[in-house]
Amino acid sequence: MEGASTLLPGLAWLVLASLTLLTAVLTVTSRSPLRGACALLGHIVALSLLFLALSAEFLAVLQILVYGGATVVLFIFVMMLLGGEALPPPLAPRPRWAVALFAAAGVSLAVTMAGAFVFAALPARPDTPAGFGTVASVGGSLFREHFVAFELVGILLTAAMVSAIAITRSRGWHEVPAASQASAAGGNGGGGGEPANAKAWVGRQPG
Amino acid sequence: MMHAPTEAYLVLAALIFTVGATGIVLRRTMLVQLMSLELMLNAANLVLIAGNRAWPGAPSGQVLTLLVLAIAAAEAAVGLALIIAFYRIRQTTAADAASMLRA
Repeated sequence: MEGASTLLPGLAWLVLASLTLLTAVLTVTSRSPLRGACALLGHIVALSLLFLALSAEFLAVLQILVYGGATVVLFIFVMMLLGGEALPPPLAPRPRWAVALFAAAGVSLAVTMAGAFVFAALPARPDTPAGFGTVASVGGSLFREHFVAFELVGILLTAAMVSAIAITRSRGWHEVPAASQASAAGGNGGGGGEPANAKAWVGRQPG
Repeated sequence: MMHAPTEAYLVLAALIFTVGATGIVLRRTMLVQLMSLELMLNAANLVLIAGNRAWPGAPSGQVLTLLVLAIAAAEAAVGLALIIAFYRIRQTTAADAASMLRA
């Protein structure tokens, strides 16, 4: 299927990999978070194509379903909920040397890894057994060998859902520092005579 | 046909992970930081899938990726809830504004 002659990745793979990397960079560098979310969606689709190239069909489908269909939509939903004014005003950008430092770290890490693989190559990749990466094979392993982990993840997801609701329920006393008292408690109404460091009733609409 | 050695996938995953880490450290918007976190999780998933393809005896790597996917979903839900709760207090999603615990 693939012998020693294909030590270098194919052209199609290089295009796909650079697309994955480019969308990842765009996710981080976009000024607007909405554009970043769109770039993240592109990154997820390209990554699922890479999963397909690794013959992980089920995970490729699941990647698009869970990440593209749920997580990215959740991000965009929160941006819509908070509105444009929630995005912080453009502050002074980080110093150029910090960006350069991280870029150099990433490139040197990749170069070091690639150099190490020249000297110590991984064993040749065997052909996949029949049914590798299908729903049947992944599901069978999930419900036999990894059943406890599956149940624990179910509990984790339930706990995350409950905690997300509890965090956003906006009922309770929040200590608000004096500096932000005016902006945070401004919409409360009727709290004009409070001392500067009092606890403010946050999130409840007046009346 | 698209094929590449496992090493190429590992190098690509390292680059994506670095991009995500850079975003978390250098960006100031919490939403973008959370998206960078997703990038880092994606890089870990890519390593797991590539490793499973290199040793295809059992689909353990893919099962682990499935679990990471679920954990990422839970993390995004809680993280976005925290961002919304923070926005209610401070009327911003700038990470620099989260200094209320500073003495």
